[in-house]
Amino acid sequence: MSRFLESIIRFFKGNSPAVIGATIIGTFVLLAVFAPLIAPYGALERDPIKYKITDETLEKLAGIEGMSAEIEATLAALKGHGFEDKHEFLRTIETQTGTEIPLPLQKRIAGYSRHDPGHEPPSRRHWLGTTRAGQDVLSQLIYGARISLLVGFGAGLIGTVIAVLMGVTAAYMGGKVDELLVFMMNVVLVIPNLPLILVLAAFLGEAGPHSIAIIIGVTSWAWGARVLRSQTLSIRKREFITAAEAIGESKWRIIVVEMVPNVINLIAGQFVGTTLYAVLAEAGLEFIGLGDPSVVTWGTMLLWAQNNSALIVGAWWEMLAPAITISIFGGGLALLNMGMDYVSNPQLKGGGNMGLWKKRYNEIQQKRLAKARNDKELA
Amino acid sequence: MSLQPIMEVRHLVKDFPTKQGIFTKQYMRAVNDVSFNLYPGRALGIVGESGSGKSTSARVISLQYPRTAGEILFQGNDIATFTDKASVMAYRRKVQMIFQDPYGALNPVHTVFHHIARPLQIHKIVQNKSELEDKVYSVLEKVGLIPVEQTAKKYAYQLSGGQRQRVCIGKTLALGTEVVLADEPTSALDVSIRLGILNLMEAMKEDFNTAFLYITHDIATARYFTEEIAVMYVGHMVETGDSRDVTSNPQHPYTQLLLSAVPDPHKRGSRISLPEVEKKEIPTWRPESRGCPFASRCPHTTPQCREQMPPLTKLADNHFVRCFLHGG
Ligand SMILES: Nc1ncnc2c1ncn2[C@@H]1O[C@H](COP(=O)(O)OP(=O)(O)OP(=O)(O)O)[C@@H](O)[C@H]1O
Ligand code: SF4
Ligand SMILES: [Mg+2]
Repeated sequence: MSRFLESIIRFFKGNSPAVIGATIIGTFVLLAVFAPLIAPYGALERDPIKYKITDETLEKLAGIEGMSAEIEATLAALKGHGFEDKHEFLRTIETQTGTEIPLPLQKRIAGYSRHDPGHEPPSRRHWLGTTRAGQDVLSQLIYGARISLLVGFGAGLIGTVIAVLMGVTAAYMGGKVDELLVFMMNVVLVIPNLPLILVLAAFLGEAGPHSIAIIIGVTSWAWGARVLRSQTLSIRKREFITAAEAIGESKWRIIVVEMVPNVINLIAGQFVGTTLYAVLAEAGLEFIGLGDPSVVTWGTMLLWAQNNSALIVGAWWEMLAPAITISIFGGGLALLNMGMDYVSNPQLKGGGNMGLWKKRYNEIQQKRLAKARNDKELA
Repeated sequence: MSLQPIMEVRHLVKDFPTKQGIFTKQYMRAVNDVSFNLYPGRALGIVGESGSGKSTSARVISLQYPRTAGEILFQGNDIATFTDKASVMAYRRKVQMIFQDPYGALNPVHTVFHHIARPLQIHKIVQNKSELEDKVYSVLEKVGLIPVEQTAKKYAYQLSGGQRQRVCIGKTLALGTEVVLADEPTSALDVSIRLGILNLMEAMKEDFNTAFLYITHDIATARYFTEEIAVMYVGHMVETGDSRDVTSNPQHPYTQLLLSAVPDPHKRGSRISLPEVEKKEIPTWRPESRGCPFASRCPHTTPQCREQMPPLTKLADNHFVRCFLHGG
């Protein structure tokens, strides 16, 4: 176990893309797990405010029958306050003004200050504004993370497990089995992925998150299987595999216990990559309406924003918030993947290519200097 | 010989496909008409240059490759009759190979404990966990990997070459292996630690009556460790006999060449280096090849040598040679 921890520390040490990526992913996971504790509102909860005095209200009420200066002053003072209950709203006005308000006026005040929960720009009550239905965008993002992450990681897991089993089995078994599995990989590879997903999703009707995870998972393993196959082919020739066969290990155990742990970093990269693809594919599927629109995810948030013409009516927050969230999460996964590449390909580490060139240049300069000095001494 | 052999190899042949056309298949014969016996508590050394079919013989015996022709008898039964899982497992338990590169033979992701424990678990040699631990530790102690508990936790990269080879030998001890096919077990190791490994195997011969097939390039260690030596050249056994006879009184021109390369026969662990041979001088043997395999390099070649394969001729009680200079 301590070796496991050690290798994790070694992985992150000096590997800033991995650290940043893992921090982002970790934050999202925490948000998703503790959504009910963190989200200020429920995912589908509408803004409960039914009455609210605005400039418009004041304008419409100005100078109408029964209106007094006191009432007007109170209304002006209450501008912007929201009330959930009609009686509470009217009683507050009465007590603040100190007089009774005649019934017809009461009706008109209530009528003109009716609050239609709709697009509300970001404010202190709603940090990221509300949707057209008056739902808190931030809360939807947090709750949506639960499904989106679950679908992403779920599909990533399914795709990776299939890729590992297919790839490693092909490499280990060789011969006819290998040929058959490679053929299957190639078939899945040449079928364009997104159209296949679209057909499957359309076939299932409004696909719930589980179906989407499965669809994405079973269509996204082929590339990974090929990569894993070619990598494990070299392990298959190592003598410890022969030695394991010689002591009578079963084929299954040789694949899972002797071979797979040797490519665990590749598998982790595979998982991260497939998850990234799955999160994007899920959002895409739901955005074009092939998902279940009643489930709150980042994809359906985009779908609703589009349906509500959010950008046209100026409610940019409803569209931008999920879009940026998906980008940040995707970026986090991509960074993590990059960090893993650094480990499996150490040349990339330490300041990218420029650093490498600089190092080479310095080496060459130093060699030249040494040679010049040498020549001088000889002369 | 009054001893009962545990392993008898009779006229073993192994072909590998080389070129595979649509209508034609070409083969190279890596092992041709090889026969030998292995006896409990004794070692047979197989000596020869690179590509002479030493490893291939061992790999056929350890079921890594199927044979092309010939017989392999284990305790009197042809191993071709071992088709059910139980008898294959029993055979695997009794016959184990040790490889040249002990680093490659140990899985880098597993500890020493795993490597010793798996054979014990697979063959149900132990019943429970505490018994497993006891047995693993006792094996590690036998092969000199102490302190045992610390060593058990280590990974291959934390061990020296000699220690790694000891782990591999430990596996055969754990299994109770009766025939060890040691394929150049010391050639990847520092000269200074070779002797330790050889002594460990020597002790196995004496204490556990293990039979050894000891494959090597190094005729000096073969003389030190083995009772009998078989000299191989491009897939053929050209001379066999008691180690002392073969090394002190070599009869085949190839054996004489091998021995002329040994700088000092009395210096222990001295390395031999054969006279540089151009690769093209070493022929590739094919099923249709004729003549003596050594004809292209032999100083005594006659026209007959190029036409006919010399028969294996008995020179003394246990000394055979395949050369027209001696009978045939
Ligand atoms: N799996 C294989 N497929 C095809 N040819 C093979 C295979 N294994 C061995 N050979 C060929 O068989 C011949 C004998 O090889 P082998 O490994 O038995 O030699 P060796 O005596 O062990 O040599 P070395 O001392 O280098 O280990 C070589 O020419 C080799 O190319
Ligand atoms: S048979 Fe002929 S070629 Fe072969 S080793 Fe003897 S003398 Fe040389
Ligand atoms: Mg070999």
